[in-house]
Amino acid sequence: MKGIYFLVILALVTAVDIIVPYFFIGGIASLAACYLFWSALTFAVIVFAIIYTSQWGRRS
Amino acid sequence: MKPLYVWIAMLGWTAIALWIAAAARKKMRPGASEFFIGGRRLRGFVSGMTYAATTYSAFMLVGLVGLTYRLGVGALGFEMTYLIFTVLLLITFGPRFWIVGNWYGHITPPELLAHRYKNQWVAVIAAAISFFMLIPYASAQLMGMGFLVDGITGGSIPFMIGVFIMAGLSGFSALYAGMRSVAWTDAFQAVTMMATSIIALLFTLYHFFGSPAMFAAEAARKTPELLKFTWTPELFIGLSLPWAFFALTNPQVSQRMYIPDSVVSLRRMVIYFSLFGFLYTIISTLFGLEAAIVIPGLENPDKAMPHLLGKVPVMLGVIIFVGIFAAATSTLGSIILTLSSLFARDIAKHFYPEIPENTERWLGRIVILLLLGACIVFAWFQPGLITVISSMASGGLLVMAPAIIAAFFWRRATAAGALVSMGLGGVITAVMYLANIYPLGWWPSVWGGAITLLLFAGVSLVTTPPDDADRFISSVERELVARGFRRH
Repeated sequence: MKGIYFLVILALVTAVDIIVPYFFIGGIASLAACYLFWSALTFAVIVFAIIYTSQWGRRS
Repeated sequence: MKPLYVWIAMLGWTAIALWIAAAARKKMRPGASEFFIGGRRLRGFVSGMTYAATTYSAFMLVGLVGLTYRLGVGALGFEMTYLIFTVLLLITFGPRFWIVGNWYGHITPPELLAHRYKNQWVAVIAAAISFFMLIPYASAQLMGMGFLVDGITGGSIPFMIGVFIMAGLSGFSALYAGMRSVAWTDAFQAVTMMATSIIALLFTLYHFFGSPAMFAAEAARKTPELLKFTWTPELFIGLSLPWAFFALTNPQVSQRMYIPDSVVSLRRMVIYFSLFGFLYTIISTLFGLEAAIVIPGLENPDKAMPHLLGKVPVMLGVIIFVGIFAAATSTLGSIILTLSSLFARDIAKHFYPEIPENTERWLGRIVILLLLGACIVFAWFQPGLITVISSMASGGLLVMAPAIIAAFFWRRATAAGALVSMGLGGVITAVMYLANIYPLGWWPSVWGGAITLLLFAGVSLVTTPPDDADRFISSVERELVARGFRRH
């Protein structure tokens, strides 16, 4: 991954990772709130990685 | 739990691990590369599992369970933040480390830094920082094991006996056939960790609560505060920041970017590790929430898991115990093997460049024994919470992040910048941790990270970069395209 893409994606994901729990769902006493949010966000990043790396090894 | 069951579990599992190590030795070839990184000939599954088993340690089923038990869902957030960063770092830096390692025959991550910055002292300083920070971290694995055997047997098997047994097994695996036996036993350990923890989680969810849905309802009713995110930003960022860059700054994991035998294996390593980490994090934090409901009021949260084991049928307790034993042993074995390679390649070879590869291997073996001794002594003192110790180690190692990242992306980065930032940044961070200095409430890792970054950028801008910095970065970028890691 190019450095600039890495930086942009990292900054976006980090912002979501911090802002959503602190400002929107942190006060909800349920597994369906922060627990589900962080799990879903992480899983989305893993799916992105699986799709992104599927091109690895295919020479241009 | 009866001590006999624990003995049987430890010895039985150890016998299997030793058999695997012996099988691995038959595949071992001569040379330092073979001993320290398996000759860059490991397949995707073994690479992914050794990465997972090295990363996920006793911290998960002891420390993270305790952290969740005490501080709730923020523990999941902190651990998932680590995983998000690691996945992104691996798909960005994994190919770069792998290409450069293959080109130049690097065995340790500091060798890459020394090569890029054209200064061997960069490797020496990076290795020294790794030693200083990772001995407490490795000791935390021993402590986790000690707490566990002591807790589940009600003190019949003392803390230090657990420490000695684990140190013995980890040491043997690393000494016997280096990375190949460590990686193979890691793969076995990772599968054990995952299988046992899934079985245990399903059982406890149905045994204590009736079903996962009823557990969720009971958690919301009995421990609502744990499901809310109540961490201060200082705590969340202070814990998360050093772990976020763990994949680059901890040599025992960054060294694993050298080991896959092909691009396909490298990809599989990343994917298998990511999925493993995701599941294992969820499982560990659910154990913590379960323990908070089933056994509330524990003074020491690190003992939540041992107490939970005391509430389940003996066979299940033994199964979970084996999983934690596997996690701790694999991490310790990997750390001491990596540190031994750092000593042989980055320190000893710096002062005695003509050391033969066979001597490097023997030197590595001696260092493994010395490291185990140091870790045992450290564990004997039982300092602080396991979580805090682990985080302190990563906090200290964070000072290497700017030099590692800039090696691939910033042409103006210089050896002087790397040396000053790692040296001074490391000292400042360590002093702040040891003296318990938290200016404005922010953790030493945050201050150390910021100071390191400023030092690195400032010193690099006023000094001269190596002649071939531009060529190094450009050639890596071209090779990424040529190898099919990206289109353009």
